[in-house]
Order: sequence, then C-alpha cells, then structure tokens
Amino acid sequence: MKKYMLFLLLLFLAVNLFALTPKEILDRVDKNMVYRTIKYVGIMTIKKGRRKPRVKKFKAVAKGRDKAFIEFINPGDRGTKYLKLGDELWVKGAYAERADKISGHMLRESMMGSDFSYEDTMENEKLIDKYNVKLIGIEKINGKECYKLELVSKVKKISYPKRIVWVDRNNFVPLKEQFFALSGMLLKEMNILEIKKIGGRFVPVKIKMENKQRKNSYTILEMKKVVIDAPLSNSVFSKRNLER
Amino acid sequence: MKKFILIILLVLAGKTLLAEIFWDGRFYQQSLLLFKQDTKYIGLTVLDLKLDTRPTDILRIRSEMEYALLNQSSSFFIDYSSDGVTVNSLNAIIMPGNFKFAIGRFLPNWGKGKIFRPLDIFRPQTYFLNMLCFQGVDGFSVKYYLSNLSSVQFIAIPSFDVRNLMPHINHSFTNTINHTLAGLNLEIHIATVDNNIIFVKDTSAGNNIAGLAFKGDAIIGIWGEFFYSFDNKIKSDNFRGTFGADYSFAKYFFMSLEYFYDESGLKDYNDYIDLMRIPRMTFGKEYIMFDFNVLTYEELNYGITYLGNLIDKSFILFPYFRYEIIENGILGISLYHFNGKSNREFAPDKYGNYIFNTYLNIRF
Repeated sequence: MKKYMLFLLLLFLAVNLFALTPKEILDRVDKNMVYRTIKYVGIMTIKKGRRKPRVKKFKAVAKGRDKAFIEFINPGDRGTKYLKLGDELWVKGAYAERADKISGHMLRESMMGSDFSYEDTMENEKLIDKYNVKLIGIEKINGKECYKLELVSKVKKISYPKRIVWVDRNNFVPLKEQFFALSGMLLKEMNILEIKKIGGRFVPVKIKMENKQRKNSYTILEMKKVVIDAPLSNSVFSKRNLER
Repeated sequence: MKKFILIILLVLAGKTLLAEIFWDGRFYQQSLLLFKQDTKYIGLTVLDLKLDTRPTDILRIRSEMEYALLNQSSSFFIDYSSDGVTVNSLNAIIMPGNFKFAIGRFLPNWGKGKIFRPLDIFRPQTYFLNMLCFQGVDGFSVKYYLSNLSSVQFIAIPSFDVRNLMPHINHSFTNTINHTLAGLNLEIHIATVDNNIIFVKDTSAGNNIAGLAFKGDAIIGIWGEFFYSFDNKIKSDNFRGTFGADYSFAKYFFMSLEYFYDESGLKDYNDYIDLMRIPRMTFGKEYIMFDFNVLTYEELNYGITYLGNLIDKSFILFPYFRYEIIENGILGISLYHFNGKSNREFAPDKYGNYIFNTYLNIRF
C-alpha cells in the first residue's frame, strides 16, 4: 500500500512538474503563430445571409509585429491597397492619385465587407503581451484534445477585451477562438479548417470567421503560396509602394 | 471625338507592347425631384470607363473617360453642361527608384477634409447632390519619396481656371480666368500625423498660396487645412481654414464633424443666383457639417447629415440610405431639406424646400 501511495505521489508530482502553465501554453502558441515575416495570397469567400457568396483575392505581406501590406487583385477591387504600420492605416484606391490616411479607430471595422476587421487580417502581435491567461479546461475540437484558455486583456486599447481559445495540445495551433466585447457579448467565432506544416511551423491555411451578431454570416479565408520568415525589405511598407 | 480616338490609340499602343490592360467600368444614374411650385425632374446617366496598363515595370498608363447623358443642364451637375464624352484623366506615370513622374491629365488631390477642402486647389469642390468623378488638370508632376512615409511633389499646370483661388468673391468672375500655376507639396509624417506644407504660385498674376494640412489620430481621427492666399499686385489676402474630427464606436456608429472658415465669405448675398455661376463651393464665412452614420451590415448603411451656414443660419438637412442591391451595385436615396430665410445661402428660394435624390451606382 505504501509503495502504491508513493507511486501515485511521484506520478502526481511528475505530471505537475512537466505540465505547462497557461502562460507557457500561450507562449508556445505565439512562437508558432507569430512570424518574423509572412507572405501569402489570400482568397476570402464572404457569405452574408441569403446573398450569393462573393470572392476577394489579395496578396499580403507582413513583417514583425506592426508592418503589413495588402493589395487586392480580384476584378472589381484590383489595385486597392492597404498599408498598416503600428496603429496607423493608409489606403490607396486603384485610380486615386495618392494614398489617404484612415483614422486609427477604423482598424476595428470590416475589411472589404468581410467578417475580418483590418486588425484581424493584419495583426501579428503576441497574445501574451496583450492578455492575461487562465486555463479553464480540456476539450475536444474536431476529435483533437485542446487546452481551453480564457484570455482577458491587460491593455486598454484593444478590440476584443476577452477571448476564449482552444489550443491543440500537440501542435499549439488555436483550432477555435471566440471573441467577446467588453459587455461579454460574443462578437465573432473563428475555426481553423485546415493546417499545413510550413518551415517547421503549423500554419492555419484555411480559417472561417463567423459573425455571431448576424445569422448565416461568415468569411472563409484561404492562404495560398505561404512563405514564412523570408527576407523582406522595409521599403515594401511605404507610401511609394502604395502609390505605384 | 478626337479624344476618344486618342484613347483608343493609346489602348492599341499598350496592347502592342504586350502589356495586360485592366479595365473597370461604372454605370451611374441619378435622379433629382424638385418640389417648388411644380415638380421638376433632373436626371443624369453616366457610363464611366477606366483603363490601366503597365507596359513595363516602371511605366504605367491610365485613363478615365465618361459618357454622360443629361435630360437638362443644371447647376447640380457643375461639370456637365452638355451630353458627350469627357476624358477625366489620361496620363503616363514613370517610377524609377524613388521618383514618380506623371504627365498628362490627372487629378492631384491635396485636400484632407471630408467636405471642405480649401487646399484641394486643382479639383472642383461640390457638396451638391452627386457622387461624380471630376475632370483632371493637364500638366506635369514629379514626386520624390524622401522616406517610407514622406515625400515632396512639384506640379506645373500650364492653364488653370483660377477664379476659386482669388482672394475675394467677385461677381464679374463668370467667365474663366486661365493662368499658369506651379505648386509644391511637402508631406512629412510625424508621430501618427501626416503633415503637408504647400505653396502654389500663379505665374500669370501676383497671386500666391501657402497652405498647411494635417491628418492623424488623437484617440479620435482629426484633420485640418489652412489656406492663405496673397496677391502682391492688388495687395489683398485671404485666409481659409477647416478643422474636423471623426470617431466610430459600438461597432456600428460613425460620427464626423467639420468646421470651415473663409475670410472672404459674404455675410449676405441678395444676388445668390448670379453667384452660383462662379465655380466656388461656398460663398459664406462660416460653416459646420455634422454626419451620423449607422453601418448595420456592410451592405447597408444609413444616416443623417447637417450642413449649415453659421452666419446666415440657413442649413441643409438630409437623411440618407444606401443599400447594396447586387454585388458592386448600390442604390442610394436621400431627401434634402433646405431651410433659411429668403436670400440666404441654403434658402428654399432657388430649389424649393425639398429635393428627393436617388442614385444607382453599378461597378463592373
């Protein structure tokens, strides 16, 4: 009996010693999901209610935490470009003579009518820097065991003061995420539909974002030709590139 | 007709250089119903075509032309006095290194404001009831990018109607006054603000313009433009300034506010109908614009706008509604209410108390 009790105690200690803390889990998520640079071709399929889905295609590049550049290439939006630097956003219409600065509060607004905001699409920041995290359970998502984390913001200026994230225990990809307003109202839900291993990382390449404020409203973002951590000049993130 | 042929030639030239030609089109139909004594209808139909080609990596040729059909000429559509084809822009752009050279017809827009843009010198301004494209100016421009967010631009316009740049409103300015202009625009980004220092010289007269503009964020979005014109020959000067702010909140609501001051503005004008022939957007001294917009869904938004002359107390109030009826097709409806005593700027004297405006804008 004593040996049995000792064995259980050792097992308990071993499990707790090697168990990840919520911060460590989130840190691993960030290590996997936050890139030095990323380049891809994005295809957004936007579905709103009973309307026919519309498709938008764009090229995106991002560097570090605060630089992103998007150019739309589908007919109808071709030539529309966005430049994000920190909390600042510029847009250049296809036939406009110059780029125009958009007020920073507009970053929270929908990008091109999709369920992704400009911030959602162009964000590349570490969650650990913006949220306090708590482990609230273990659940299965699509047959995969996941850590269920609750993230509460520790910074003032933030679009989603609270998030619930389901993180795959094996590859630390957030398979599902819910975004809440300050009031606690559920605003959006994101589900990862497909993951690929690129450059040693697990990269979500097909993402569905649902607007929980509206019935049957969602956007599916597919990322093609993904290149991670390749060298990228800072001149890409410039007004000159916007006005080309 | 000559312009049309020129466009076609350019397209063919681009094609022969084996460049891909991109095009975008727009169909626009606007109807105005005026209710003054009897009901009057004014309609405008526009077919707009934009062409864009890149024969080489650094060379780009762009053009935009419109075919407009009016059921009658009207001051509501200040650029459309008759039917026909208008070439709004046709230019070649070369971008070697950090330079950008442009020659031809283009539309430099130096203003930052939503409605009042005193520094938008080269673009006719109007808050009149339409969403039309504007005809560019013929000239030459060279821009040099000093850094990722700063630049300096030089513009030369051989012939430009300068009536809107004159220090004071003159009733005799009903015919065009074409002068040569040269302008410089230095754009510098500091903190979270884009700043512009502008200087424009009227080389045919003693009139010069200095300007400052900024647009940035201070929790809310803010912008401002300050225009100072001084005529060395007649020893006269004029100051105009605009200041605005906007903010969005609770995901669906958007507000903006803009104030405009024009030192040369008139306090009252008994011959306002004559003044309308001068290409100026405003004739008064002080204005305020307020807009409240609700973005229910991305394809539907509605709101209300107030535009008032603070001196003569006249105003326009118009609720509006925009709905995307098909992909890239927007239906807009608004009801303009004019209010003010007789001979005031927005008085119902000329157009009646109400104008019902509808438009259909389809991109293809």
